[in-house]
Parts: sequence; C-alpha cells; structure tokens
Amino acid sequence: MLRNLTAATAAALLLASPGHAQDPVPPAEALEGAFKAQQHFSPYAGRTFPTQVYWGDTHLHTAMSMDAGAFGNRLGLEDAYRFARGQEVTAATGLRVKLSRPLDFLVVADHSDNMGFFPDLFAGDPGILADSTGKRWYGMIQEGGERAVAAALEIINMASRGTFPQSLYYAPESAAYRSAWEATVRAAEQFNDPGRFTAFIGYEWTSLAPPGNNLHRVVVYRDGGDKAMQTLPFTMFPPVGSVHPEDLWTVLQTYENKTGGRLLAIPHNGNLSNGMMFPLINPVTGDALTREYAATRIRWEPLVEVTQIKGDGEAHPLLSPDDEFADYETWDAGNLNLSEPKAPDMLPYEYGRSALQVGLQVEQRLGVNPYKFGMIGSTDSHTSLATAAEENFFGKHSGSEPGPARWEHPVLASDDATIWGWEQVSSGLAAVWATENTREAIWDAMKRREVYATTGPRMMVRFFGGWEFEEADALNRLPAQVGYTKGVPMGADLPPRPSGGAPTFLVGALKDELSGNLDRIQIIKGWVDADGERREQVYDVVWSDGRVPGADGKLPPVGNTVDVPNATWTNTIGDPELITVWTDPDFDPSQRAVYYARVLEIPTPRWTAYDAKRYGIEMSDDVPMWTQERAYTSPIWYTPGQ
Amino acid sequence: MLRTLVVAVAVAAVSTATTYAQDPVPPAETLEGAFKSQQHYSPYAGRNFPTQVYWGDTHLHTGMSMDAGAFGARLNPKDAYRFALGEELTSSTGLQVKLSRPLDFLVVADHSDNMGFFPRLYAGDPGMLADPTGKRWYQMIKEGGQQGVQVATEVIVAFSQGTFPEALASLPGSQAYRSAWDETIEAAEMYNDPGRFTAFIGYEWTSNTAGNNLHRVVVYRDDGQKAGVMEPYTTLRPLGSDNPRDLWSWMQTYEDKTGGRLLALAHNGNLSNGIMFPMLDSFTGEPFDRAYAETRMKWEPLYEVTQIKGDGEAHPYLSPTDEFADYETWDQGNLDLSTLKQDEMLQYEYARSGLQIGLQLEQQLGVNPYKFGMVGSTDSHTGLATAEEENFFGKHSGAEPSAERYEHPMAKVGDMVYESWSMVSSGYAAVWATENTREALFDAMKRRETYATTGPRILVRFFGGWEFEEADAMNRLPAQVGYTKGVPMGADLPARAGNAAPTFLVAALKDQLSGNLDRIQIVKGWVDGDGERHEKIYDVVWSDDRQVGRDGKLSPVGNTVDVANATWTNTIGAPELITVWTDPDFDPDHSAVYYARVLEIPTPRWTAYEAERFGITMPAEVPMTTQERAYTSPIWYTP
Repeated sequence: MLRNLTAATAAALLLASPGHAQDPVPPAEALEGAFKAQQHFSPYAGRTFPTQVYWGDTHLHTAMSMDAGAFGNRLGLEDAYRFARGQEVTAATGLRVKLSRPLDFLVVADHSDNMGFFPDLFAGDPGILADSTGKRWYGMIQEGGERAVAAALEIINMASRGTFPQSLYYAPESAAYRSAWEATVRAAEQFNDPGRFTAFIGYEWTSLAPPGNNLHRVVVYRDGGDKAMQTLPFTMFPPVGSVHPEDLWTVLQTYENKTGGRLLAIPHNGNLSNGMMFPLINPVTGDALTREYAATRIRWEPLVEVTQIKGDGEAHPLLSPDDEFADYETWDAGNLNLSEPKAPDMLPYEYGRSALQVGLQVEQRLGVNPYKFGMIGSTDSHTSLATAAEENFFGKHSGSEPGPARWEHPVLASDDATIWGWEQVSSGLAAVWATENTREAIWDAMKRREVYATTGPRMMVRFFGGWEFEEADALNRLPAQVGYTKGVPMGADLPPRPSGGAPTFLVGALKDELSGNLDRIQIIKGWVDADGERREQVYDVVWSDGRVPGADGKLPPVGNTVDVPNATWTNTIGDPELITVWTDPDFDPSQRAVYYARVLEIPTPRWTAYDAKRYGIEMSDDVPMWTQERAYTSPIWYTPGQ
Repeated sequence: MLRTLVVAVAVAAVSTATTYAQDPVPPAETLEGAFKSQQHYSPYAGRNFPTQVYWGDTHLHTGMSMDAGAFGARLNPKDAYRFALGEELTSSTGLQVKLSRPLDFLVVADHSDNMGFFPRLYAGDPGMLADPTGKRWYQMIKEGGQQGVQVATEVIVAFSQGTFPEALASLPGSQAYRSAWDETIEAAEMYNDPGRFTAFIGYEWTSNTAGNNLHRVVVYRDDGQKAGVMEPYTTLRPLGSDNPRDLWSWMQTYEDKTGGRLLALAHNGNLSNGIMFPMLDSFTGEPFDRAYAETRMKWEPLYEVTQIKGDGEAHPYLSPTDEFADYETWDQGNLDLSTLKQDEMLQYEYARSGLQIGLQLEQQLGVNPYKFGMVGSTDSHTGLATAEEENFFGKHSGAEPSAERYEHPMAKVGDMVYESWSMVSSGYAAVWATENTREALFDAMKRRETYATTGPRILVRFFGGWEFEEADAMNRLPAQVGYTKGVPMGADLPARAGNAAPTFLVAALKDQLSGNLDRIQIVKGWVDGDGERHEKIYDVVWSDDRQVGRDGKLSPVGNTVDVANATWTNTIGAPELITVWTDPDFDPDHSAVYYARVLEIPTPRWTAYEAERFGITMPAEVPMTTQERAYTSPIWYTP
C-alpha cells in the first residue's frame, strides 16, 4: 500500500508541474479517503510469510523398488502413504507399527531402474514366468526360506554387476515399466489432499558411478499426474539411462519443456560417493567444472539430503578437527558397495559443510556457485515406513526390521569392510517452512531452500540473516514477523550490505515435545580467504543451563541423563527453547561466506538402547547407546559487493 | 489379550476337573501357539487412548442470533466455520482477522429464540416488510447510524420485555424458523470434515427468567439427518420453557425419536444470582429428588467455566486464601443487572463450590447432580471464535477493536455498568479424543476428558490413581503410564486398594505462542463428617526453584510485562512442568473432588494490546496484565 501511495503521489506531481494535466489537481484534503491505511488489528491477518513448518520424508522406498522387494518388503505404495498419514499398519515382518505423529508430506522415491519388477515376480506375473530365469526365481521364492533369500541375492548381485537378464529387465517404455509408473503416480494422486497432506510424485535416479560411487538423486515433481504421466522416469542403465548427472539434468529440462511442469532433484549420500558428489573436477570429463555445469546443477538441485539411515553427511571429523560434534553417525569406510575404500582426500567433496565452501571457491572462479544448496534430512528407508525416531526405528530394509539380532547383522559387506546393523542411523526428516500444505507451496519452499534437516526429532528452528537484528529482537513475541521484516530466512542471500556493519542473525529453536531438551545452537560459518582457501568456524551462540565457556573457548558439555538399561532419560538438563541474536565477530566484507545453524539436543537413548532393552540383549562395547540428535538449517549466503 | 488368556485357562481347568469335557484336553505344549503375545515394538502401535488434544469453541454466535445481528454481526454460520478453520475473513466492522492457528472443532450455538430473525429483517424479507413495525425497523436500518442502533435497542428491549411483535417473531414451526435451522445444519454439514475438522450442530437455549442466567448450549453428536427432525427448544411458552427440566425432557424426546445423542453445557453461573448450582430447586423452592440429580447428570456432563462474560472457576469471597481466585470476576448482579449480587448467592454460582455442593447433594440423594467436567468457550457474538489476548474481537460486533471500545459500557442499569474493558478474552475447550470426529469428540465430552483454558493452548494431562510414584513423572510416555496406572481427568478414582492415599500425575506444556508456566496447583474439595464443604489448594510443581514461604505460600513468579509495548519475555517461568502428587490430608471416609489448575506467568491483557495499537491511555482501574490459566475436569473419590 505504501508503495502504491508513493507512486501515485509522484505521478500527481509530474502531471501537475507541466500544463498537461488531464484534470485539475484536487486539493489534498479531497484525496484523503482515497488511500486508506490498511487496517491491521489481528496480528495474524495479512501475513504472507510461512507460519508453519511441515514435516516430511522426501526419500522413501516401497516394495516397488527392486532391492526393497528382494529384501522382503511387501508393503506397497498405499501402505507407505497410509503410514505417513498416521495410520497403524503391519510391517513386512509382521510387527504392528505407527508413527508418534503423522507426517505432513511424503515423496515415495522408488528406484527407477527395474521399478515394479519385484512385486510382479512375487505375484508370478505371466510375463516373468515366460522367462526361464524368471520362472526359476519365482519357484525359489515360492519355496521360501533360504531358497528365497538365495534368489533375492542372485537378483541383487546381477543388477549391481550389470548382468541382470535383459529379457527380465523392466526397461522404460516396456508395458510393465509403464504400469509400475502409472501405479506410482496413481497412488500419489489418490493420497494427495491439498491443505492436509501432500503426496509428491517422485522417483530415485540411482546412479552408481564406477566402481560403485553413489551419485543418487531423488527427483520431485511439483506437478500432478496429468503431467507426470507424459514421460517416464530417468534410469541409469544404458542405452536409455546414464550414470552422469548432466544427463539427468537434460532429461529434467526435456520434461519441463514438454509438459510445462516443474522438477527438482535432491542428491544424497555424498559420504558414499568417494569424492564425486561435490567435485571441483568433473569426474565425467576430467576437467575443471564449467560455468554451464555450475549453472545447470544449481538450477535443478537446490537441496541436499544431508542426513539419513546410511550416515550423517553434515561434517566429517577429519575436515573439522576442532568440532567435537563433527563425528556424528559417520559412515566413511568406502563407497556404496564398499568396492573402494575411503581416502582422506575424497572427504572435502562429500560432506555438506565442506561442499558449501567448495561452492564458494567455484563461484569465485566461475561467477556461479554450483553448491548453493539448502539442507534436509530423510529416511531412505526401504520398508515403506518413514520411521526416523529412535524409539520407533524400523531399519533400512525389511531384513533389518526390529528383532533381537538385527544389530549384529551386516547391512553392507565386502572383502575390505563391513557395515553392521547397529551402524544404521535412525535419521532423518525434512522440515519445510511453507505457506500451506500443498504440492505447490512445499515445492516452492524447497526451491527457495526455506527448509532444514533433522536427524528425526521435530524441533522447530527459525534462522534469519540481516544487517540490523538487535538483541531485543530475540525477545519479540513474534520472532518470525521481525525476522522476515528485517532480514531473510534460511536458504536466502543476505540483502546488500549497507555501509559498514557485520551480518546479524536471529536464530531460535523449540524442542520436540516428545524428544530431548536443547543443548545449544551453533552457527557455522564457511568462507574463502584471501588465498582462495576454504575456512570454517563453529560458534556457540546460545545454550542451556547458564554454562560458561572454558579457557579454551569451549562450552562445557551439557551433561548426560541417559539411563541406558532402561532406555530413557530425563529433561532435567538442557532447555526447551533457545533464541538469540548473533553478530559475526570476524566478518571480512571482502570475503564470500556461508552461514548455517546447527541445533543440538541433550543426549538421549539411541535406537540400539531401545532394542537392547526391549529384547533383553547385550550389545558389544563398540555399539553407541546414546545420541545427540540435531538439526541443520539451510544456509544464508554473503557475497561481497552484492 | 491377557484377560482373554486368563479366562481361557480357567475354563480349561474347570473342564479337566469334571468329566464333561467336549473333547480330550490337549497337552499344554500344543496350545503354545494359540495365544501369541502381542508383538509390540512400535510404542505408538496398538494405543487406544487419546494421544492428541483437540481445541475448539463450543459456544459461538453468528448473525443468526437475534442479539448478535442487532449489534451488527453480519457473519453467518458458514463464515464462522471458515474462520475457525483458519481462513482470513473481514469482520463485520471491516477489519481483516485471522486466528493464529486453526481450531479443531466448533459449535455454532445461536440463540434458539428468534433464530434467524435479524438476517431476515436486514435483508428486507417480504414477510418482515408486511408488518408495519417490521417495515419501520427495516427503513431505520437502511438509514443506518443512530437509526440502526435505535432498532437494535428496540428489538432487544421488546424481546426481553415480552412485547416483541408476534408477526415478526421467528418461532419453531414457522417457515422462517425452519429455514434458519436448516441453514444452521447445512453450514455444519458443509464444514464437518471427519479427521480434520469437526463442525458440531448445536444451539443455545437461553433461559433468562428475571434476568437470571440459566443458559445451556445443546450439542449434537448427530448429523443433519437426525438434527433436522426436530427444531430447537426455546424458552418462550407455550412452545418452550425456561425450566432446565423441560429442556431435558425435550432432549429425551429427541433421542427417543431419532436415536441420536445430545448433551447440554451450562454457562455463566456467575450471572445466575445463585441458581446455577442450587441446593433447592429454584423453580419450586423444594429440595431436589434423586430423579433431578440423575437427569441433570445424564444431560450435563460439562460446564463452561470461563468465557467473555467472566471467569467462573472460583470467587474470592468463597476462597479468601486463594490469591488467584479473583480472576476476571463479574459479580455485580445477574445477566441484565436487574438484581444485585448478594454474597450468599456466590456459592451456588462458581464451579469450585458447585463441585462441593454436588458432593453434599450426593450424600443426601445418592447421586451427584454437579459431577461436571470443565471447558472454556468464547460466547462471542461476532461469528469469530477469538480468545487470544493479542487478537480479541470482543463480545459482539459493537465491541470489535477500536480506540473507543474499552470505554463503551456493555450494559448499564442505574449505577451499575458492565464496562467493556472488563470483557474477558476467554476461553477455549480442550478435548482429549482419539480422533477429530463428531463421535469421538462428543464421547470425550461425555466422559469429561476435557479441560478449560482462558485462551492459550496449554497442553495438560491429569491422571489419578493409587500407585503413581515419583519416577512416573520422568517417564518419557507419561500418558502411557497415566492410563495404565490410573484414570484420566473426568473419571472416578478406581476402588481404593489397601491404605493408600490417592496419587496424581499432572503435567503441563506451555503454548508456544504464549507465556511460560508459573505453577500447577491441585484444588481439592471435600465434605467432612458434619456435611460441611471444604477446599484446599496445593501448589504441586512450579518454576524457577522458588521456595515456599513461612506462610505456606509460594512466592509470586514475577512479572516481565512491558505494558507500554504490550509485550513480555519468557525469562521467568518454565516451558513445562510435571510431577506426581499424593494427597497428604486424605481421609478415606470423606467424598472428595480434585482438579488441576495451571497458571501462566503474567502476560499482557487484551487491553494492553489495545492501548498500544491505538495509542490510547486507559484509566488506572483497567487491568493491563493477566495470568492465563487452565482448569482440568476433576477426578472424584467416593468412599
């Protein structure tokens, strides 16, 4: 309204000064009623910014995924949605299961390669029985027990070695594949309920670059079935598919051109990419990244799934030796199939924190930052059950659903390394600040990166950056109002710098009422120094229990109330909520920088403690029994001269 | 499962003892698989107790209510539901308005007397214009301004004095009344959305003999099919009656006729001048009989204890040692101020004393007529269910936000005035139900698993039993232990085991948009061996490690309210409180009733927001801070 008023007045002045006025200018009094000030009494009327955070999983597999089906998952698309919406279902292994609270949205992201194969095999589809291998597998599965497991392993191994029988392969354009995709789309359409629950159409493009490096992306549609059905998912097996992300982006562009729809892609598990997820050198060409690569990547990939069952990917202790919280649920034995061990020089190109800094380096060179991503968590569960709570963890796949032995079964093994069942991470969830619970509003919020990751708990986190936040803003009763008015939310660029001043941040967190109190909020700054080197610093900005930092500048630990044998804890330490305004004390206006917030809970029992208690078992000493859950916000960026 | 197992084993034992077994008894090993223990890993699977509290307003008026319409409300029942669902609306006075968060349910409860009259007059319905008075009123309303106000006054006065033109009255049985009721039902049916939002069908029966408030809101468990069978009960004879017994008969008739279910909630005992919870029947002056107690309890499981026209939990005259009893007290007189309040009336007006009187009557009659749970609601006449201090749209459309509303009297008789600044921005009804449907919410109301708040959405759990222990307050699933070891708010304590005293598990979590918590109290009422009523308030858990003083009182929590800026800081108080408490003064021979009261730290009252937003200074007598609170439904002990 103010802007309109200013414009109108200017126009009136212009018209009045020469002799060309269309009409005589009325006296100001006569115009008084023309621009009524907007009447605002209700503080909640007329707000256009997001006032609610929506919780979801952007990465869930059902029995439609070949590996999920092979590992025993019999729960289909409908079960996945019903469970996410809060209904009680029976898991593939026969346990009754229910979420503590419903989710607000879900992306069923089944592997695009061989999508729908296993349910058809299990059901004895005539097309599969017509093939001799298909018939043999079906017979083995019908026999059950060890024979069925042998068939499953044979199928998985053939697929991963590229020896899967061409005659059985569910290639895009085949009738079987099309019907699998139709089923996927139909289920999303059926359960999508604008305003109440968002069922996104999506799939996982499962690029495994030789020799087994994870470059997976989840593709999320903003659109309904009318558009999504016009093309089929992109796969990785040649000749139709490819393992190169550039080819995926081309396919995404083709889809948008054809349908007028909108897509985005979310990479995950850089920790299993052996240095290929956030590279400086394009592994396909062997050359330094180009401006086109950077621009194309950031057009399609605004987010990274930074925490999930197969490890947490925010930070690595070797990259962040001063960060005592960096070694959190780290999976760094090798690549996805453990065919190649990890080397330390791969790490900078795998973890969220360093990748954000790599992005700044690339931007300095090319003018575009390919790694200007926001952060979310998701489960990558293959059980159709989006469980990320420690006390309700249903595992990576149906073979690792709750049972007294799941902790000691390997989930991944090669000649070089083994990853044990107990190493699975009960993580994570995607939190989205959106104006309403619809595909459009949530997708748009993802696109603008107004999202954050948690390792499972639903803590509420606000993070705003600007140049004029002051201490009193942390006591404002409507922190979001002041946040949006004086600054920008998580995922955005700092507004242009006024003369002088360092950036200020308003950050607040409220605990999940079912989870632990809060230990502290940290702001993590990454920047590129005058020599072009990547730098980082972790600042404790607000914490519980009146602790005083020690001589080494470190805040003392919050303590630990976890009662491991009883798998419980007390919220007698920590704070239910924390909020503060923080100003960067080391700001150099000539250096580009990236800031994000990390919120830590007090220690609570890890899922292994619940398993040990419920099954009355003892686990070995190397199994961690408590965890410090956390949230990572999308960053806010500062660019010099902007 | 356990119960089934025990029964089966007992039967088997009996069968083997005699020779009448139908079949040879198999060896125990072969039965091993017959009763699989339920596999429980997911702590959330297989729970049948309520895990969520649903928020609503059981008492909202729209333009369909004659007085609301006369005072300028132009919003209809559909608008009211849309607003409750969280949509932004334009209020009758032209302000944009929206709730901070949607409500989960709403009862549109328009006055049954003359329902729908004002919208018809306002729209110039031909039936109205055919009557000379109707035509005159219509023309005055079209002129607007003072003329419109004059009509409102005439309409209200004519109705309350019984001189309302019969030709204009909207009476049950008439076409006009039918269409008003149909419109009410249609709106509820349109917005009822099982699992997401419950739109209850309902109305208010507005008994007001001699100005003494005996109002009841009637709530339907049913859909429009049943609710449409009978039109609402009114107070004007011969069709209606002002005696609650006649309302209950009508409710019984409805249920017999339709197979439906109803309940009624009374409100504003504070304006009843001693006849809301009486010892004697106020219509006959006679003592109650058992039938009265049974019938009242059958229909009236809940009481609306806090709303715009005053808070009715406790009165300072009745509870002189309770420093929090004088909360938003309206005690000048009855509803129309035609009779002044006398001290001896108070005990029969307030919930706390009403609960104790119920125990006394139970001793005489064998049935407690006042065994009610508690809810809050707005009684707003604007179509807008606002109960938050920072978003308060007032009693009626004439009292919507403005720079002047605080100083306009709401009612004035002689020297007595209900000042507008004394309006209370209160309250809401919280219901622990298994799902958000008419059936589940109604059933929870019926079993009294509800509580009242003065507006904030404080989460409160309250369980009673005989074996709660300190460790239960540290349990990560307090509801699980609460339902397993005890009973929830609204219930009777289970039979006493051994020599124990009752124990209570009580917890509260602050509303994230409102103030931290000061303390939780348990209020006990009982009747001693001489039949005398007693009450005692126990501080059971509180914030900031305060000590109880020598006088036995916990020191005040402090006050961070910045009145000039209408804000405060949550730097005092606690975001959550939980404890287990054992009654230290328990006497197993005395009937007792226990409920929890949760207090927030001081926050700005709506008048402070008003002063800040309009840049006005209010007189010193106008309170600028408030200490919002929740009252749970009680748990009863019977020897």
